[in-house]
Amino acid sequence: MTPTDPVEARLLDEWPLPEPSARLRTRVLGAARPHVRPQVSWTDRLWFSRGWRLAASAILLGLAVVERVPEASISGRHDVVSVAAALESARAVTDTALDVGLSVDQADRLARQTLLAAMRPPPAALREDLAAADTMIP
Amino acid sequence: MKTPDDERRDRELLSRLAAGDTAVLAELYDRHVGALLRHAVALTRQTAEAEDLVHGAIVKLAGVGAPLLGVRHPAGYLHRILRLTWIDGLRQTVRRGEDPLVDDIAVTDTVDLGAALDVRCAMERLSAPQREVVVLHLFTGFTFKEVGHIVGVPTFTAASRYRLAVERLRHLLGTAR
Repeated sequence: MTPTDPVEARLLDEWPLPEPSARLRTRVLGAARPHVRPQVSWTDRLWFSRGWRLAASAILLGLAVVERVPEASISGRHDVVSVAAALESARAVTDTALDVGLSVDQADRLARQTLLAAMRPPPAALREDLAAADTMIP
Repeated sequence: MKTPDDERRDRELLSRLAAGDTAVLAELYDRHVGALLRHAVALTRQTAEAEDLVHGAIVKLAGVGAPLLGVRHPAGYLHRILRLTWIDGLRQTVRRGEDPLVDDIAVTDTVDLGAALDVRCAMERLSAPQREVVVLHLFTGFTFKEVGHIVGVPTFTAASRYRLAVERLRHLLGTAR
């Protein structure tokens, strides 16, 4: 660092830097050596390794992504199936309405209501009833 | 000033120390004792006490063990250990009921500032936190970010503490800009 400030320059030039005494080295090394113990296990090496931590993060992230993808694809497929079934029901309602002699407008209105009802998820109680009815049908 | 090669070498030494290699202690000592002693003098103001502080810090470092494997910036880590050792010492002094020799507040100017002080006296008139920041940044070459990390304050606080210290020194030394 080259100071541009005269105070900094003066400090660097004039502040007496302390010199460690000759016996400090012997004293420090003599006192510190007994405290050193081989304490590193392979789990420590793994835990404190930067590479391992990055790899663990990447795996967790990967798992989170994998966890979400099938859910999305299953729910997407379910939506497609529901829409196709709703359109089929609406068409059947229109045909039946015309067969019984209702006007085209009334048949369209009925079909629209059928479509809207089919797109709404059924309430939990109704879902349970439907599931029970499925098991009763031979 | 430290280079990336120095940091790599220090990391290697710390890894070997964690694994129980006592031979590396001497090299670690030789590489860092100067900077650590300067930092210790900034905190204690007395060379004898500063040497005790360096002694305590290196003994503490020797017993750290496996966490040394995860140290990314060894020089800053050593200075943090030194600071923690100093704080531990102060706590023990307080617990024993003695007065700790801490000068958190800068000495009030009672002398005639018309006569410029010498650099040593001016440094002694700074508070310990200001002196510490000056030593770490100007003499040891740590960036303000690193100084903040060592001292435990945000980067901005470290920088403003340094600026205030230099302004105070300018006033004490009678140096006009």
